Amino acid sequence: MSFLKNKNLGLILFGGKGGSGKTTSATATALYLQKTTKKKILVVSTDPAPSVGDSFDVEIGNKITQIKDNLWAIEFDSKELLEDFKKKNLKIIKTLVERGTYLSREDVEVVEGLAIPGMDEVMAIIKIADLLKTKEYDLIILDTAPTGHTKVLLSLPEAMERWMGVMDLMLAKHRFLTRLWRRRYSEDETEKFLKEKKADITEVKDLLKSPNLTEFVPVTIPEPMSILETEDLIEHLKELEIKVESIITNQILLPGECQFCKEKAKFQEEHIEMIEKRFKKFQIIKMPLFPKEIRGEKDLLEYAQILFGEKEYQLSIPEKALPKFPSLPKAKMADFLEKDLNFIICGGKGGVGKTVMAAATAIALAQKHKDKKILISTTDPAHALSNVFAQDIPLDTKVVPLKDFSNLFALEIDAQKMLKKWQDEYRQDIDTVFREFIGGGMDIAFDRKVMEELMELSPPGLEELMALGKIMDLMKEDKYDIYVLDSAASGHLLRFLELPEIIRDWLKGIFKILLKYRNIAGLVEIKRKLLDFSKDIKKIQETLFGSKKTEFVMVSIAEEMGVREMGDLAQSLEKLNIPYNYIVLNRIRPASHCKFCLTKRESQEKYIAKVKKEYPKKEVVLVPLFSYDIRGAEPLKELSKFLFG
Amino acid sequence: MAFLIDDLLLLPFRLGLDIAEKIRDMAAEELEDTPEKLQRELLDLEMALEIEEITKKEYEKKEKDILARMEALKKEESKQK
Repeated sequence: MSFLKNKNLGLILFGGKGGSGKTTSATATALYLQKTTKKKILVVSTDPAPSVGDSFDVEIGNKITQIKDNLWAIEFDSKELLEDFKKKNLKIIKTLVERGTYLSREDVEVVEGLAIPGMDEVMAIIKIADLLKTKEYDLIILDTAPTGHTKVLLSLPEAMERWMGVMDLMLAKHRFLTRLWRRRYSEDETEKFLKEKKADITEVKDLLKSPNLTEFVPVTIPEPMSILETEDLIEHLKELEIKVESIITNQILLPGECQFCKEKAKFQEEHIEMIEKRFKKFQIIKMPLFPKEIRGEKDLLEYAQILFGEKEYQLSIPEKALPKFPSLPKAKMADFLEKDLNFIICGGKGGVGKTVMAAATAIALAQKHKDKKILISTTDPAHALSNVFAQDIPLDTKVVPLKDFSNLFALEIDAQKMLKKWQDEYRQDIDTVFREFIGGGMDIAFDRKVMEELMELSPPGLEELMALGKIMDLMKEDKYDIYVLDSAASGHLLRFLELPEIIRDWLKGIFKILLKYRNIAGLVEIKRKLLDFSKDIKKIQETLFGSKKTEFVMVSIAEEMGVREMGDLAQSLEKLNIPYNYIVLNRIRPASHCKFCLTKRESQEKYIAKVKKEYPKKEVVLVPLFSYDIRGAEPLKELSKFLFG
Repeated sequence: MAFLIDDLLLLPFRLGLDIAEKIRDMAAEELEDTPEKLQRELLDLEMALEIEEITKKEYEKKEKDILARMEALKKEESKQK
């Protein structure tokens, strides 16, 4: 029984590629259920660039905000959640670290203030566990981040259980020693904390796997990238034993009146067939593309009525004279190719066409600079490069040449595989170290177990860490002249960009501790490695930030959510000192005579004007919506010609 | 790369082992200059610069001093040969 009918559900998750309408579906469902049931409902956004507030047209943020009777919403802010968590638990965590490692209390103080990469998802799981514990809500509706990071989020409860197992093991030594001295051992605060947290996480894990209580609703649109991502997501959900019953297929076009709409609808038909074929095990809920943005209670309820099958969709465009719009001006990005750039990052909200823009840019560079080698890569765990180039680019740690080009290469980083490789390499090292220490007694035996367990864990933020590490390695090898990065959606892009600074902070903390032991012989190898590492990071920082060698290309769409997210991203870029000169507004409707196109275009023009006004110093590049998919070398070359002349 | 997680994540443990080992050896530590000791001093100096405990100027001055001692040590060794 799907979420449309199942009254027992306690948790509904909406997920999919950026721009498919996850948030709209989540908030509309919440409003509908608020109207038709007596349940107490909480909508939670785990997206670092949340839009639940935009959708409800209410200011929300990281606090539970009442929307209506029995309906609340919160947009998780992982930084604030982490602060809260620290405030409450810092003392215990310090004790844990102190007991579990060789660090002294003083050393622990040094590392305490440091940020940990990848904590967003960890904090989200802990907060969800806390919310469940309060039992204040009958139903939690989760609006998730784009696919890649949602996969990380959902795998976390299991990973976290293991982490806590390791922490428990770290304490085992302490338990053993205490027992040795005092001949008895009673559980203290730290142990209780660990046990309790572990139980909370187990509860989240169990809830996710309970088919009666939980349902994941993938939201997709009839476009190849979205379909592929959905397939990948469903595969992952199956592994995690999370129930999927129905799939929302969003933004379906009605047969339009103009040539463009007709063409587009025809293209869509193929993709809808593909969806029906590939997902035939599931109930497919078809939702139309509305001529206007869906925001606020009235719009959402209308959307919900169609979603819940209460109403047939009828295209209604108010009768009024629609203005004429000029055809799009020529894109003025030719200058871009003249710059002496080392690094180009394409970023923006999910589903605005970052990957396509990155690919078109890489192609333009490859064609312009025949003597240079260009590498296109991605920090997005959703991996869309294969699709856009219509070439199988295996998830790997190796670079593959792109057919049709002599100087263009692609890399889809497989973070898990990189981790595995590292584990295999170092397992032996660790073995040797311990063998040398045999005879060290019980103490060492415990450490060995901890080390072994620790080796098996993937650290939080793995995807970003690996992407950064791989890029650093490649830069060191000096094999490529220009790197084009297709980034993850803006929230996670920022997380990636902040990573070098976080690592440097950690290194500084470690250096401080190491310098305390300056008179002790040894540690030479480790010190050397850390210093080299610190220098590499510095180099990447110098290349990325405040440098003429790096430029960011802002990609967005002319819609409220696109423009708003762009504003946040622009601010962060200023702070990080990453220059950007071009704003690409993608998917502009043609100025045809048809009412549907014109209504859409009218709303887009409003945002185009807004962007031009708010960013007077930037070159705003308008890119049309195409009736066909941009996939494979030829259409990409076309697009690159449009952009760069 | 591997190093990223390797030494960062495991440092507390590796550090522990190394320190345990070194404390054991500490008794044998010489006060005189040895190539190892000087290299260590150089690394510590670099680290101090990284965390801005010393300025670039101080660093250069001390580095010069250590390099001079290294030179002296080398001369001493070749003399003995």
